[in-house]
Amino acid sequence: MTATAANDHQPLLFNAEPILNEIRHGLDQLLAAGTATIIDLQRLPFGVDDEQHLRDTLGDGEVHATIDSLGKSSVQETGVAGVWWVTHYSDDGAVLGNFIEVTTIPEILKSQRPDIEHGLRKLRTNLGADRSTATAQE
Amino acid sequence: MVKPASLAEHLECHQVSRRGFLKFCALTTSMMALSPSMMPAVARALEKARRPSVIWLSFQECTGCTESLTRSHSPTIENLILNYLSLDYHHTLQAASGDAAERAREAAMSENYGQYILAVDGSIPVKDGGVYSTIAGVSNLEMLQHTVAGAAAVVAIGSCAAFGGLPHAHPNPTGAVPVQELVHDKPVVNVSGCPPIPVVISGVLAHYLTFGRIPDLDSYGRPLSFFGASIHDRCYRRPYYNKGLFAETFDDEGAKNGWCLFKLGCKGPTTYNACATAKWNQGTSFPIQSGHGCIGCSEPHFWDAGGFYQPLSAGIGSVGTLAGMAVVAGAAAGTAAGRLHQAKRKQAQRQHEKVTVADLEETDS
Repeated sequence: MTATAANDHQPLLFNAEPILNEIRHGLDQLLAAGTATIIDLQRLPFGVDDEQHLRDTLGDGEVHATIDSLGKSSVQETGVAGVWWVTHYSDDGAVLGNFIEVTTIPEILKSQRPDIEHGLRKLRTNLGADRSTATAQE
Repeated sequence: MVKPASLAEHLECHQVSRRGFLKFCALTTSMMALSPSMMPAVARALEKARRPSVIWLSFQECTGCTESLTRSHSPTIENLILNYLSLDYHHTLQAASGDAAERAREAAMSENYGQYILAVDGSIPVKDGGVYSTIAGVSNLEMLQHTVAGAAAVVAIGSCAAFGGLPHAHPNPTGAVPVQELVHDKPVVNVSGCPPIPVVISGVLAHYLTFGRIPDLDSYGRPLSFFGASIHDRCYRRPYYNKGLFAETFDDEGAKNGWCLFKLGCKGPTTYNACATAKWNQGTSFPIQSGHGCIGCSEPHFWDAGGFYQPLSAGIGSVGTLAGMAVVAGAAAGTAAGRLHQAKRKQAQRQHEKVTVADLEETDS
């Protein structure tokens, strides 16, 4: 076998095309039944050009959010609406998880009920403290 | 300080928000190599999970398995899992030593009898009454038998505990055996590898923590979620194999182009493990990505399975090609003569015994 065969600049793809097809099916399901699909990219073997091919094909979308909880997380909508790239990092910036979510909005972006309840308690306490302070000054 | 009763409370103590908990669940599900669709079930189970006691016994081993675990690459998440486990005895890591250490083991056993997880790394020497490895004057064999009696499940960590490993290699002077040859009345999970991948160790422990039972196993007792596919089938160089593009030496054009290492002895096609996806060193790489073939360290008796640089097709390949590869790979088989009968060669292949180039030359001549 000669080196020429590998130097023809054809991308070496392993799982990019199957993943893109899974995303296509996921979008069909999302539109038809509202069902979300999550693909764990770290548990799939990638060829050297797979991730770039995925990023090139999906492109960049309009939303890019950063979450700061147990290390940073990046949540980015791709150029295909309803397809999100969710990446979780450790405190020192190492990638811990890499997911594609086909959904209207990833669950982790939503405010969660226990956190809302905690926030409300905190706000009530602060307001109570403020009222006490105001009363004392009158 | 009162220990938290459930994992949810443990995370709350660490001021982890619900959003953080969801991230934790997503990564734990991934760590256990489960489908992301299992995430809600994992979240429900983890909310109620109770703190399990772990007793870790180290027998005939090199401490590489413990090194692997303590240098795991996702400390944020794995630490939360590992901190949540009550590691009550590990003589390499614990501060106590001597009688105090052994008392800690006895206390953990009595407080959690029938419920603790017993982790074992290293094989157990049974020759001559097990005198070849002792801890506090107690043979490994006796300590295993005593400690396993109250265990809910046993996790054999590393190829030595799972299959005998290096101590079991020919001629096995200490009569080393793996855990599963001695434990028949408790579930045993084999987390093989030399060393095993840290995320596989923590994934198995997380599985027990989450679901209260051991994961589904393959025919060698290994968790299917990590050992269900061969290295070859998950290797990023697999497309080169499919195209017939191989490195013939470690410094040829094929090696520089990152082609398949099959002809240089890669054992990926017969080795089942998660290296190709979980990777090592903070997810940086794994042996094949670093340019060296898989040596098959998670398979039984890999030390006696022939040369690391012999292609898997050595038994049926042309001798000239094989000899050439052996030389360039720095694994020349020497000049020792010896005739191996065809039947013996087949038997050796079945039993993974070493087949030298000289054996093949003699047989084929």
